[in-house]
Amino acid sequence: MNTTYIINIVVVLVFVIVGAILGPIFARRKRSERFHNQFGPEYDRTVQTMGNEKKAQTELDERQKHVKALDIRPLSVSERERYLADWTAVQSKFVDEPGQAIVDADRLIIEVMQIRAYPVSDFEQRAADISVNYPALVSNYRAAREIAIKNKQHQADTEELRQAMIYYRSLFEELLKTESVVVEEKKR
Amino acid sequence: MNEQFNTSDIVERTDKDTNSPVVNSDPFADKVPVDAALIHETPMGGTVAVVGPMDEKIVHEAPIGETITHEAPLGTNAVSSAALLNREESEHFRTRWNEIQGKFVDEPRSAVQQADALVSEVIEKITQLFANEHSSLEGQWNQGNAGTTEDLRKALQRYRSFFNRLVV
Repeated sequence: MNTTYIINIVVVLVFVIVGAILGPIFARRKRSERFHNQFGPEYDRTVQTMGNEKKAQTELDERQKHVKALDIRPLSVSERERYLADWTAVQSKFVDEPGQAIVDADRLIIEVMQIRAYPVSDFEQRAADISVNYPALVSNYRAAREIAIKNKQHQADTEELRQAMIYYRSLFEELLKTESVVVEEKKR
Repeated sequence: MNEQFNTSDIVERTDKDTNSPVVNSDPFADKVPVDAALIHETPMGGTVAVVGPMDEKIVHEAPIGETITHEAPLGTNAVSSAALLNREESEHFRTRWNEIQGKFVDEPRSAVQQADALVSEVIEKITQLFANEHSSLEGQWNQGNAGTTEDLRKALQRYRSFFNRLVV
């Protein structure tokens, strides 16, 4: 009787201890899973740059708060059309001046972000904001940026520049697309 | 096709051929972003490129030599500025060129292949134009000895007109 009682207590204690150890681990894992799902590769990248998961999560939380506080507006239909035409022109220009076309493409993205009320102070800020709303595309933006820097030093070859153009466009298209998305969201 | 033929070569070629890389330095301009690249590339079409397809003053359907006056010793100015293709044709070709150039970023190789085909088509078109002119011209002077010196003089003027439009 006494022994059974002790065994019961021990079993309960073991459960409590195991739970106390595993609980936070599971919670942490769940949390990092959530960030992973939300930010994708950008999460891993942030963990790498920040040093550990906790700091990375704080950083990403702050990014989300920052973007939430912004009053992002969609482009109007005419603005959208204008920028589509501008993009077509830049892409066509690539054949004659690949390097300059990259510079123009980058500038177009900044312009559109500015119109939509993103703060466009520096690249890292822009990338951070983009990572919140377009997590899948921020890696493209960064890749294009790297090529653009090489381009400034005249070290990017034409194929790289072409890739940069495609990277930029993937983001540019999303930045323009929002009009209909926003309308749809309002309908719900 | 040569595997070594990379994007850089493709651009390089186009660059050299268009021979005017700075023409469209402003991407925000409303103009068509393509210059006369297509026509520059054809050995015959230089004239077309210089003229530009939008020049309203040109009488595209004008029979060759119409603008020549007896006073114009060489007829170069008046005649060489006439386009070989009419405006509709030029615009059609130009639209297709713009599409091809816009596609380069996505499919460089296919863009170059299509450019090649388009240029061939334009040359064919010009050849055909000349064939038509040729038969009408020949009727004017090649009738045994029937043609007077005046007929021959006029025929030569019309040939010169065509020549001037091919060779600037």
